[in-house]
Amino acid sequence: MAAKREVQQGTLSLMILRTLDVLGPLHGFGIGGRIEETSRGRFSVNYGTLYPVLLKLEQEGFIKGAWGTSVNNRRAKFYTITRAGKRQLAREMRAWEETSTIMSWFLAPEGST
Amino acid sequence: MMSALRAFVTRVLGTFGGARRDGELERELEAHVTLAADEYVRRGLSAADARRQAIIDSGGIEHAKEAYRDQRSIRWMETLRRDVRTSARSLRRDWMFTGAVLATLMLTTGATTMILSAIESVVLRPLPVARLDRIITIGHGVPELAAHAGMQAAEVFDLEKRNDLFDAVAGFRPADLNLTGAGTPQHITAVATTGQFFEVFDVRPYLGRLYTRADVDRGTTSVVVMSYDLWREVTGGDRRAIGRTFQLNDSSYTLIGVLPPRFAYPTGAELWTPKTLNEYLDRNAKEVFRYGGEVIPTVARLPDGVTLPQVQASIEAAQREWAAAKPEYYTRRNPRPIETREFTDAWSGELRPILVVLVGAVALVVLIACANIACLQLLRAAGRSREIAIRIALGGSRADVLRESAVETLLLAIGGGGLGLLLARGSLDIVSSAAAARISELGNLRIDPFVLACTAAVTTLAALLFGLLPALRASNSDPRAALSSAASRSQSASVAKGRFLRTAVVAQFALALALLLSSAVAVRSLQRLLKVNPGFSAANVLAARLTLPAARGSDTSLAWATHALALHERILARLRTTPGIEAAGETDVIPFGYHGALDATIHRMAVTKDFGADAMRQSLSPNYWYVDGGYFRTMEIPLLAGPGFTGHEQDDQVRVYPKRLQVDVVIDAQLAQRLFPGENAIGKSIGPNAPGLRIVGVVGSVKKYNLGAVGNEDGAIYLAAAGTQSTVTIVLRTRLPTSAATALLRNVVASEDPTLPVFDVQTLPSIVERSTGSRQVASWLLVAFAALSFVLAVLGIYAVLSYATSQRMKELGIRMALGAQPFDVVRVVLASGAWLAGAGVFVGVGCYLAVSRALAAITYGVNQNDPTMIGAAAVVLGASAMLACLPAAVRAARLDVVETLRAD
Repeated sequence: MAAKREVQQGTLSLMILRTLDVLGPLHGFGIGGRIEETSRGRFSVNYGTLYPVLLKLEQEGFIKGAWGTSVNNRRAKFYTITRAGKRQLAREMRAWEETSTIMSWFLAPEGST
Repeated sequence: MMSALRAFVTRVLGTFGGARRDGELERELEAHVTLAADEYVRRGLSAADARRQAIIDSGGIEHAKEAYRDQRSIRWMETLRRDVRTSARSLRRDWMFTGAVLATLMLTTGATTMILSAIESVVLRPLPVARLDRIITIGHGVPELAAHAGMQAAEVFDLEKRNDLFDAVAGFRPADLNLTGAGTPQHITAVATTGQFFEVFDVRPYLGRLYTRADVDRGTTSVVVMSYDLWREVTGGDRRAIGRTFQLNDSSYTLIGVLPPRFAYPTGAELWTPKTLNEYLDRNAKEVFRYGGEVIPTVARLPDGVTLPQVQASIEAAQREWAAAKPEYYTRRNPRPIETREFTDAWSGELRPILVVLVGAVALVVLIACANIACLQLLRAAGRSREIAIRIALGGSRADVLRESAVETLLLAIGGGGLGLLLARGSLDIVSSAAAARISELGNLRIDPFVLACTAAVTTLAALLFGLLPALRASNSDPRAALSSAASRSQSASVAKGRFLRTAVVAQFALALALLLSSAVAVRSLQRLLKVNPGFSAANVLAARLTLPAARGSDTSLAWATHALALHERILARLRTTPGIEAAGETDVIPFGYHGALDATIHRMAVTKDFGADAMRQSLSPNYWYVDGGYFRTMEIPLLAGPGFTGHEQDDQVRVYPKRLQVDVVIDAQLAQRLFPGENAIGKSIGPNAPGLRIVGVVGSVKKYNLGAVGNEDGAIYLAAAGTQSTVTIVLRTRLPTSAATALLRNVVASEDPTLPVFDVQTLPSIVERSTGSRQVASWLLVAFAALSFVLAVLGIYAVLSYATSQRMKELGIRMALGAQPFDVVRVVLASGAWLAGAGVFVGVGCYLAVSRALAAITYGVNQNDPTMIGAAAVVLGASAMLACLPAAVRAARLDVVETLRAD
């Protein structure tokens, strides 16, 4: 199994938005777990990185946090994606796809294009 | 974009209320750990292990908090907020220091703001008009009223017609009008202009439209434009008043427009009309009127890219053409040289050099204040050096200490500056109206963004510069030295500090002395000026004006003049028989009655002692005035020779002059001297046009415009008042109170013609004093500045000497232990104070002598470098310094030797 990698700055907010969009309201721990799960354990998310990004997204109005109760009856702050967040997600996904396409052209074996 | 902005605002807000948000984060992180631990428990770990593992997984809590805080707020703002709180606390603790600095800053900022707003409204932006810098005044150099010189009407019309030199050009003259048919008759300060007046100023109407040259060409001249204030007063601010007709001097005028507030050119004007000027001087009128003695103020707008020298050259070329076309009107003395000036330059006129002096004075006050604040800061820093040293020793960075100092200084600057602005704001109206009574241009002082920006810049710069200097010094000091027990007396630090303090005190004294001397010069000049004999006796004389409606119809002449003359004579006769009134007379213009461009039409007459073709070339140009015999008696202008006016001249003037018969005139001693040196002038006739004027009296010369100015060296000629002037000034000599005399005058006038308003009632002494208005205002301000700087300098030496003495307590204690008497200690302390004050006075006298020439604008009949005056100022300042040093000396003499030596 490959060593765990820190999430790249900038991609984390995309991952958070996507996670919230797919799974609905979720607390920080849940978001972190989901990202690790989705990356098949390749990414680790520590909360020194996670919470500032959550705060930033909240300040930008892309997500909203509210205190609630988890399934096993724990108090936690649940984040929901807002409408602006969905638009932002769509934008970022487009941009990311474009970037990865371009990157794939660059990294393609020589002569294959 | 929006989201970035939103994030920024949230972060700025996040700077505040940090504690509550920290709690929120704490709970969220706790929840995270709990959830993670639950997960481990589910996987089979014990509760304690699960929690430990959860914390390890999550990375450091503190690291997370720190990163979170960075995101939450803006780091430097948070620091700033903390610094502000620390500084505010420390300033509150040293409230005496804070109070002294705030008071100093408040007074200097207030003074600076006041002077700046004066400069702005007089020099920089006197009118709310675009591209003021393209407007010029044009005129023959008339020495008495250089600021408002003008052109002859024919010349203005010609310039207007040729339109190659200017975008627009206009002349104007006063047109006193009575507004009737709307309640009590009201006198209006009206201006008659040529067609392009508003095009010159390129002013946009507040309401309606403004007349143009096209109106004049079409002949639609019975229109008026009102000032904003007059429109408010007359119509109650009715926007539908445009198009309404008003009765002015029994003629109907249509209101076509209202000017924006603050547009008042010429100063005091309330109403503008193209009518009377263009009728009076219209192209069909007699040539002699258009080229005649009257010179009307002229303004013009330069086309883009044309410079003042270019225009000057073009005008001179034009003048040569005029002279070639009409040689009879362009004699040796006329053309006088034509002068073109920038409008703002002409507007500020004699005020400009005075303002320069005042700006210099304010600059000195600001410097003194800076030095004072620097002293206070340094003294305070001395008390805090130990604290700062501890912080530096504990690893506090120098930048932190400096930053805190800067914040503290800024707080002081903002506080003091704000208080100063409040002070200026509160007193500006009072000062403005007090000053406007003497200088009408100062009537609308206000604080606008420009003034505000300048004030803020000056205050901040001053406070920062002199607040940071001591801080730099303190932070550079060696913490070990400062912390060692002898720290506060450690030699190296206190020597440097002492040198700085001494320099600051010496500088303050030098500057204060310069200010003191300047104010002394201003005050003594004013006193000297007010003692100048104007040639008449102003005491107990009251002047009032009345305007007779102009002639109806086209016949300007005889019937109306006869009516006017008869009316004036009846009024004067009744006044003369009224108990309490010693004498009464009339004149067209009162001496010193010229206040601005509106009064600047100059009446001059070509006069020679010969007749004939060549006579014009030899002519003198005295001013001429229309008066009656009672005028000389009322003003107590001495009749030096001849019988003077005996009563029939006025009728002669009305009936005879138009038929070109000889009339009698009175001339003043100056003209008599110029025309007939060493001869008796009585009975002689003077030209240039036959049959000439017969001299029946010579009266004393009178100052006409200004106590200080030389005036027209060709003197004056008095014609008999003949009802030809629509506005006359009635002068009364009476010991009655002004209000009673005014009531009497109004009664008499009303009983003769109830539609005649009496206006501009003033006592002659106030008119004369007003002519020195700008000097008076300058003197008050200089005295105020000098007093302020004097207080600051004395406070400065008091503070510094107290500090220096406290530093020397040990030395003084040793001296006393060795047998010195209290008196000796007092002497030692006073000597060091005397040395400082002496050096300050010495440097101050040197500085003053170097710049005293700059005071020329406010000097009259006083030697600026008068040794007695300088000596007196030096003694006063020195003695005050000694008094200020006394408390420190007494404290030193009372010192307890044992206590002092044991301390440490």
